Amino acid sequence: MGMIPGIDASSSALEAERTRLDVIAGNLANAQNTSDASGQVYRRKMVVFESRLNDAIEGGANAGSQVQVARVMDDPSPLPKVYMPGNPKADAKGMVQMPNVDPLNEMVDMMTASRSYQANLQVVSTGRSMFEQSLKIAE
Amino acid sequence: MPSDGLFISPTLQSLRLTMDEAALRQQAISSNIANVNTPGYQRMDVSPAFQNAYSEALSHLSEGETVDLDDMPEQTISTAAVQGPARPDGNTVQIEQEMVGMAQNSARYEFAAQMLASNYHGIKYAISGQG
Repeated sequence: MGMIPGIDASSSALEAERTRLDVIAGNLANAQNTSDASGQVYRRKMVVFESRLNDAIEGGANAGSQVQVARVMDDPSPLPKVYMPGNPKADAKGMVQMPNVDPLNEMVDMMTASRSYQANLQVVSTGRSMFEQSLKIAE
Repeated sequence: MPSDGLFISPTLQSLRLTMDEAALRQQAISSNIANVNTPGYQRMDVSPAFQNAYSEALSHLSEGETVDLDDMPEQTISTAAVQGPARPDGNTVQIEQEMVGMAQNSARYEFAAQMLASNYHGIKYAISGQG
């Protein structure tokens, strides 16, 4: 656990939310990308969080959970088709498959990630001030 | 054990116990806030065994008897009672409650730390004659 209570859980959450923001940024950047590295239409990526128990303290006692990104997966929802007859990727009817990225969804996710990041920073700050107070006992 | 000795008074024991409990709760709160977006996570709090032993010890101490702090059960946290419905993904953490709980908890911890500090300052002053 270390000297500041709860620091492991909070720092794992900061890392996980940062990863989520990276993924969101990638989605927004590729929202119109019809040809990624393998020539396919870009598919929206999403992160899956899972909790992981902290190393138990002696005696097998439960010390709380950290969080981690279990995997980054492709969003399986269907790709929208847009009418763009001049596009080199257009099919016979002039329809092009576009990425299934909805900027509004991404913005909402981004706000969630950002607020969660702030809340965890607050926890670290509180834990640290508790620790600093306890240092003063022996002053 | 009679309440003699500079360092075994009920006051000091209750302050120390308060700090132990608050530090444990801070771990639980931190785990909850870290997992606020994890699907299926159930919020945690100080284990009921420790909570009960803590309340009982505090009431003994407030009557002026000392307790044996080694008799306290293990300091653990466990899945806690939930105050409201779970979200669609199964997560039961309410961020507002956790943040308010954290504010109260850290205030209690810092109060106890301050009281302990001034207690020891008093003793040091009595020994040395200087502030």
